[in-house]
Amino acid sequence: MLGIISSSKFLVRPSIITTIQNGTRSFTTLKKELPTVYEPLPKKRTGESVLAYLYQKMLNKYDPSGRRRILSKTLRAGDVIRVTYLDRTDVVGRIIAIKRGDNNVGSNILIRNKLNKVGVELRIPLYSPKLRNIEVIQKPEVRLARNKQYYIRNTRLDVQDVESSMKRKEAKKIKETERKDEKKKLRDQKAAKLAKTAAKREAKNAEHTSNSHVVEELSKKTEST
Amino acid sequence: MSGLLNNIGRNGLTSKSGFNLIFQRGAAQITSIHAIPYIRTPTSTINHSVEQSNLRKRLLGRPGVLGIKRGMISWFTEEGKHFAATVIEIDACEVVGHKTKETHGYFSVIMGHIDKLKNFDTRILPMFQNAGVTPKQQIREFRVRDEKGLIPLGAEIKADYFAVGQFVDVKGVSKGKGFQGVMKRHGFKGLGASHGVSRAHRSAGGMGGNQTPGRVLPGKKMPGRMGGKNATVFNNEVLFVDAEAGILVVKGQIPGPNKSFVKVADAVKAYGRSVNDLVREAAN
Amino acid sequence: MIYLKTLLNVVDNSGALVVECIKVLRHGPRNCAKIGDEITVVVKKARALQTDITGQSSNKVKRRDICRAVVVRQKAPFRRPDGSVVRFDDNACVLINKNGEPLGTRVSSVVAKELRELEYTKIASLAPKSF
Repeated sequence: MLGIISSSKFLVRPSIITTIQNGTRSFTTLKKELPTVYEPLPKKRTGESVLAYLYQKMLNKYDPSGRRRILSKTLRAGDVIRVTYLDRTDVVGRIIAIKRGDNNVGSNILIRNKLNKVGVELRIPLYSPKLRNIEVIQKPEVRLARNKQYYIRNTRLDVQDVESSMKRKEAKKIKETERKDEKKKLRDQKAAKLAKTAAKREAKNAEHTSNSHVVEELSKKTEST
Repeated sequence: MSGLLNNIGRNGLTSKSGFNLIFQRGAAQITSIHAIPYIRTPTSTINHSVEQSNLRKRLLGRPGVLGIKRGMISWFTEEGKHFAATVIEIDACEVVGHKTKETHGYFSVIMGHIDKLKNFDTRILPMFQNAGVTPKQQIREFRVRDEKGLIPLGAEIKADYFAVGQFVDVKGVSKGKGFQGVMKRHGFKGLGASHGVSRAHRSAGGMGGNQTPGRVLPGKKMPGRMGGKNATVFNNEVLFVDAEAGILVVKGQIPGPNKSFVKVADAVKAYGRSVNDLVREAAN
Repeated sequence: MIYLKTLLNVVDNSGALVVECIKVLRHGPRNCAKIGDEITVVVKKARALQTDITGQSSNKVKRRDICRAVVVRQKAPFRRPDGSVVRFDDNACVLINKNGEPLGTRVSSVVAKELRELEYTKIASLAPKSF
């Protein structure tokens, strides 16, 4: 630690002027020693800024997998998310605003929902150790303007009951798929019937006129229909 | 008779009847031989003296540390609680000198921080040479109770000087607010918003008396420069220390803007003792 | 931020619909009520009187009645210890008696979770949802 980097000596202005005989003037120089200057201590954090160092450390602590960091970049106002806490309780809501810290753990998400026709809002710290998971349920097809959508409160753009609307949508989806399945089933049944009748006819024809091209063609036609 | 009186000296006279006659305050007194004529009282102490005030002062057993305010962050505890915290950097804080009772009348540790490698004042260089440290940008003094608190010269004090969970006091210079009115500076109420108040909604109102006293009394709170003064925040909890990285995180806020210098020391209200206190504690 | 003259919705079946705060209890003169605080209110708007078969009204209170209430929702954002900030769209309360028991038998709408930790567990459990 205490290496000497400079112990230079320098000339101090003459303070005593002596006159020597023969009429010539001369002066004596007073050499004054400069104190020793010791080497500085080694730089901490290899010269990195304190806050950047600490942010990195905290992010690694509270977000070891890096998943939240990705979320903070990918999430946008308008997404519907479900936040699950460690005690398995969860909150659902649409994101109105995201406050992104400058690569630090101060980021938070503001979600809005309607419960019993009452608007509720919750600002959740993104890197809170109490959070278990943040799940994106839905991304909107058309996004509203602005990153911070505070203006949607109590307008026709406002969030509806997210959970029940999700349920409704799911129910609708299920119904649609059911209907599709039914249609498919019907079509299959029809096709099977046709095939059956065609096969029967073929068998009959084979009985009457064997190796006739005309019949073959006919049977082909029926099959294709 | 008059001749007798003339013969009486300052130390009294043994009369022919066997009484001790002591003359003090110019009057004759007759006292028994067993009486104690006077008691030597202890010399009175002057409370308004430096020595007495030093005994009364609540001082810490050890000095504090110099630091730089770096900014505020979000902090989570293990239980998931969340609050604001301040980051203090401790950059090459070393002991530069001592003051002792013999030389200065009190004990204190002189500390410096941030290595300064050029443009140094040659007059104070011998101090750094004596301590065996690099010249420092900032030098400050921490008063301690006795010589036990004098940390050896040249010792570097790192962030782990403070334990996580203990309380510290942080001293700094508050942010300058410029020339401010009484409402912001002293929290006055101002005048009414209406009821005939004209262009004086934020003014102070009355300044004092009338013909008596006929002047504004000294110390009247008035508009003026606000902030930029020494300020102390007491009992901030230490949340995190990293000695190698020179980082100290305390709960809550501390005075001054970012990059400003602060003094961090053990909380006086929690750990400070005066010499009188110590004597009292020892007696108990 | 509920203080003198604040209008609050009532979310129980006591009969009151809108009440006005006339006093914040157990607070300094300048402080305002927040969630879980008790206030004194005047009923400004009550449900129309409906007498059932027994001749008794289902309404426990009527207009101009003075009663106590506990704040269950507030518009002003408030902070929880875990750092989250909660805000509701309206100010709402539940009417209670002097012992802290609710006057109504039902709570019709969402209430704040804080009530559970305070001594209003009954209101919290009556509510369909807590947030």
